[in-house]
Amino acid sequence: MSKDLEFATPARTLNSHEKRIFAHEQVGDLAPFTPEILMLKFESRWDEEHLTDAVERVLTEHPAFTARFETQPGGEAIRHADHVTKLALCGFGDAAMAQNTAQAHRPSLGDTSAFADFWSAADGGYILALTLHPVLGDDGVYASIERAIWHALDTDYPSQSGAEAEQPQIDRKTRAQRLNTWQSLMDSYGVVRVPHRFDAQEGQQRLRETRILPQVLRTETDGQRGFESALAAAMAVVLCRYSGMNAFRFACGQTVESTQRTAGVLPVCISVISERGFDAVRSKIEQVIGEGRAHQLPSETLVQDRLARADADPHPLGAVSLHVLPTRALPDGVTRLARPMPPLAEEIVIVVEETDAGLVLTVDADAGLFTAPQITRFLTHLERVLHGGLETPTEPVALLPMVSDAELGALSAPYPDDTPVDPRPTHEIIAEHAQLTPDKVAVICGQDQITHGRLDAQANALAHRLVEMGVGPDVSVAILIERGADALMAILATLKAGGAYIPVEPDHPTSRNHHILTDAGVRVVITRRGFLDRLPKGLEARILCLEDFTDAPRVDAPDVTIHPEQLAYVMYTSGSTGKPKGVAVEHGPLSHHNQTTARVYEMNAESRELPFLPFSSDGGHERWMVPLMMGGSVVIPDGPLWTPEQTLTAMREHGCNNASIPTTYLQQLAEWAEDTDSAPPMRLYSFGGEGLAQSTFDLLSRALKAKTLINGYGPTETIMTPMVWKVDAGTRFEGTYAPLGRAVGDRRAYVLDVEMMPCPQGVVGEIYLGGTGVARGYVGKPDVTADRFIPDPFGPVLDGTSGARLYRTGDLGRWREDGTIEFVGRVDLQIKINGYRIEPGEIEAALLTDPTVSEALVLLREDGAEKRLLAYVVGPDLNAGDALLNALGTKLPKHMLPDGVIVLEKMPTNPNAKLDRAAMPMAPVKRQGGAGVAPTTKAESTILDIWRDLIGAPQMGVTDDFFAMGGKSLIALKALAAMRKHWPDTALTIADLFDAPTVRGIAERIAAGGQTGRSAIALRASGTKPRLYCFPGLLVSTREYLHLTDHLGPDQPVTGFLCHSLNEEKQLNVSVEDVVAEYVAHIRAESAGQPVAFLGWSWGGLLAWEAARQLQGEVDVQLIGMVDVCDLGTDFTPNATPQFEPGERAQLEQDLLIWLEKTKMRAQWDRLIGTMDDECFDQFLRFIGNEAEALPFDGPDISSREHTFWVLIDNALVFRRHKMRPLDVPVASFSAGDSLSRGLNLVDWRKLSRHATAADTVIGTNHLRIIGDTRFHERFKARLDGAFASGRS
Amino acid sequence: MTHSTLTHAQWRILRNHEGRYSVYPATRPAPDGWDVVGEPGTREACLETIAARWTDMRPDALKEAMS
Repeated sequence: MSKDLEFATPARTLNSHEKRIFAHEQVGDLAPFTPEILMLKFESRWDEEHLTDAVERVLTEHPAFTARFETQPGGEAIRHADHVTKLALCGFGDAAMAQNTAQAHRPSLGDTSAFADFWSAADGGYILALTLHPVLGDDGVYASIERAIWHALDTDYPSQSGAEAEQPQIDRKTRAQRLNTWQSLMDSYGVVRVPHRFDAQEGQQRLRETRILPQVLRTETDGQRGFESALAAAMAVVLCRYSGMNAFRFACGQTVESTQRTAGVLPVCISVISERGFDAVRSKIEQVIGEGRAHQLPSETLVQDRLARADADPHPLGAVSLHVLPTRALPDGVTRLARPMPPLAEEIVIVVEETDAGLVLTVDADAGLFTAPQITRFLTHLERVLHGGLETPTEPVALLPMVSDAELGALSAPYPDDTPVDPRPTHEIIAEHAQLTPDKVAVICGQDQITHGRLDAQANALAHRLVEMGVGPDVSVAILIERGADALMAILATLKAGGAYIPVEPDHPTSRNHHILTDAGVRVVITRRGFLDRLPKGLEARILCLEDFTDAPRVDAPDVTIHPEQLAYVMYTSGSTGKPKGVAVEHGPLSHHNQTTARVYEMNAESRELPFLPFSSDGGHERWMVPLMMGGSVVIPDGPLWTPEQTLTAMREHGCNNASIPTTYLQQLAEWAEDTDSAPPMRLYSFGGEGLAQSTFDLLSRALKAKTLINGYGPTETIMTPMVWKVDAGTRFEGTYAPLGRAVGDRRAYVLDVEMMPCPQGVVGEIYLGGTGVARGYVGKPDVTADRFIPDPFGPVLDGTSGARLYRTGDLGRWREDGTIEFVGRVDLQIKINGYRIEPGEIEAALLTDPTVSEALVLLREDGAEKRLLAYVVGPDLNAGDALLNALGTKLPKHMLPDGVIVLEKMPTNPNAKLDRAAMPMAPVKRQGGAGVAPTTKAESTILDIWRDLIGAPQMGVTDDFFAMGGKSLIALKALAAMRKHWPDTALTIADLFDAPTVRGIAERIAAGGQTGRSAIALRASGTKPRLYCFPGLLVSTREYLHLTDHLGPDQPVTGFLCHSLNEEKQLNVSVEDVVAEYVAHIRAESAGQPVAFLGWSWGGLLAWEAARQLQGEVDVQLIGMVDVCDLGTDFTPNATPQFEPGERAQLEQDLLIWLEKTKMRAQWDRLIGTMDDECFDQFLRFIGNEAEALPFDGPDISSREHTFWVLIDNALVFRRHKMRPLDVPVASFSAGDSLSRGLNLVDWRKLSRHATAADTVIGTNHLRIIGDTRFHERFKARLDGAFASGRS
Repeated sequence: MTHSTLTHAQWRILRNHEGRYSVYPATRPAPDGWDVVGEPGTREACLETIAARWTDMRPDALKEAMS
């Protein structure tokens, strides 16, 4: 005989997990939950009748299959256990058919919530496929179902009794203590993320990849706990390395066997100490998870608590979750073909299950945030760290390899170039053209046109003189001559003499020039008489003025052999701190660099380049050397300050085919060329020096009409332009700035973390450049050289080189998908706040999304002892800073917001046309007190005192904004009431405060004696689109709609209505129809016969609905947005009969009477209670009884608890009498994830309009905050645009 | 980013085949082509030693060619 299954199944209310999913079902958006499927395969040795009998018994008795839900008035659900699930005999089929059929079932709570299919397997045996509505089941419920089946089959397996692991009840005090502990833990451990793709947007689509880890891992881990801790440790290490965070939280799920759904996640708050071994990290994480489970609370409780905070993360418990499914043994002859996945609620969900083939790792990710290759790599990194960690358990986890040698080789590789290197130095290759094409023009500067032959002959003559003056290997010669043909000639002469040249720009600051001339051990200075006064006194160097040099040009160069390690030049570079340092560069790497660069730039004898770069930067020298080495020519501007018009004219006039120009100047050039349609025909522009945004790159592509664009990058220490990004004009790049590209020549470019471990693609690290193409070092600074040029550990592995060096650039970057490197910011500008790494570049990117912003720069400035994050922008109106800062607030997390946005007319630049960071102005310090202007009249003084007191801002002044200073809606009401006492004849309303939110403004209104008394406020007065009317929730002003208004754009007119409860002339117990009448009159007067749209938030949704009803046929309502609109709950819904314990009702009534004797609001309460019928009064008593706190006595002041309570009850009574009727209006409904998790009684608008859609759930936000949530703004805007578009057609 | 989170208490001076100096964490093997010079010490101490010792920064081959 079969054993008894014995499930106790009384009717009951829902648990917190069930309540949440039930609410999802009610509003028609079940995601992230899906129907849960279990599939079991029985071999043919099982008897069919025995099987079906057993399954049918389980279907009859197990609570998952007998559940029926009944909705009470007020929305609460009761779960009964009197439903019957029938076993469907499906005939012959295979596993795929069974799975497809199971997936096609649509379990619904109103109808069939569970399905059971029985198949005769085509390959013998039987398949049982079970499908449950997510309210009913998860993996833990299926554990209980499986056990019931084995029981019913009378197997001895597994032997232990079906003990139900129900959650122990937690008392209130323990609950509070635990919540407290979790709160402080989560405050210290931020939410860690896998870096998002560029332009990431949380989407509805998911992507999934599965990988089977080799068998070997199974034997090395010990049992299920072992898997979990090993995987959690691997995950923690990978996330630490990805994010740079050392203390963070992620989510961890757990399967608990139960007859009802219990699955939730807990936050794992962990510190990863990089020097610890994998084993230590694993033990720590095992302990943290164990403690977390011992002190767990329902995840809904933790999430709700978190989301009540202003800075809540949308994934409060973790953006990445790990679920290790327990291994559940099966009787012989049974295999499990499918089991449920956990809810796919986090950005990334990792599920691990042990199978015969090994550990199956499934990563399911939000396709809007991640690309498929990213997820593949994430899996690879998990696997490598797990493998490495288990193999070398004491190796510091920071050193476990994540990037393979092959991957590193491909990522770091330079532009391919197989051409053999010409061993001659740069100047000898240039000189060759004097033999080959002596009469060809080499340099054009002003009126001068110099041929290759003449340039070489002049340089030869000067070189002979320099040799006589003692110039030879590693002897420095300063060239103090303005940029032009003479400077070029003097440089070539120096090289021919075997010396090293040092360019010194005559018009640069004297102190800088003096430092260069004295620091570098200069032996000869070539200059002009006019610059002699710019030399430092007592300089021990020989001076040669060009005016005094009259030696005849000659065809022969001095007989000097150049050693490849001999110095070619010393270039002074300004660091962010300290004096300029001389970077010494040798001939061998210089010539090699120039030769490769010529090929990458596709230069030839026909090349004619206009190099605009100054001679004080090494890039400026590359750009004349390379064309001359190819036998081409250069057009050198004869002044440093050519206008864009002069430059474009010179290019056209001289037939230039390429130009090299600093990014900042090229932008001006492009703007001019576009405005005047004067772009000359050019093959190539190269540029660099600053981050280049896509908008600027588009401008260059569009306006300059060149075929090819090259973005060059490189510190002086790595010789000129060691990295380039060469593309066709018009290329789109996904990133904040144009990529820096790849290395050029005999170099490799790396992105490395703090431990010099290669960063995976997409992970921010420091850019290192290595190979032979680096400088010798800093002149006279061996220690700084040794510090910045470090031994290269990768060259020997990748190229078989030895003894090579890497230069640490101090720039942050990340490898992109295609292996090119993207610039992210400066190492010394990177900041960490609360463990979060902040890249100013991300803030700049957010600023650049504003179409008026053409340039953006974010800096951490030291203002005295204080460090301030400031943003500088060019483009918008000079006083648009605050508006931009507000807009940033909707795009960036709080910890990334700068202290201020400063609008500049142009970015200040230094003599090298680079951004001058030190010259950026400081923003005035913004104190919470704002400007603090003192009052000038008695009225101002009185008002100011009231406001300061109510807001709690003693430093506030008469021009400071009431709301910006912290004034909330209720404080506004108090302020109005207090002001009324002083000016009883002036009936100020909240609309006045909104229109004139400063003390001065209000004082002027009082003086004028007028008041508006309006109930509507134009949030945006005009625009081409149909007007949007926003209906308020209870006790909110219309300011909550400001961010939405910003997001909807300048074409969208918006009007907000004031909440009637904020109107102090509020009448008792009006009807919804009356409340709406005033709004309706306003709409009628303004928009009769016009298309409009409505938005209702919270109870405002009911008002919007009623307004739409009253205005039928008068206005064309194209869409009503319903935002988290709840109907009355069980508290006051008609027919929701309250339950009392024996004697409880009498006691509550007694309490009420005693309280009424004492309260100062007695009269108001009496009037309110007088309107209640018997049922309503009972509900009122029940409501009081349910309140945790005693009845308040602090009325009748506005914003007192008692007043708020009164307004709430009054409002409930108003809506209690109101019944919504169907209406033929399009509805877009949105619900806050938190409201669903609380099981609030959200309205299903599909029941009221056939043009309503299921709710769109905005997760990670709550009832109050959804109205300011950018994700809601985006989705509502899309719906609104769609509605307007179809409304027009 | 410039500072390791690992506490590399000990660093070593390395010198390559060209006579160029640098420093490297003492716990890690010297990359190919680099030889260890002297005893391990703090990073600052190693750099100070280099400042005192590497006064002629010309590579060895160049020195030889010029002598």
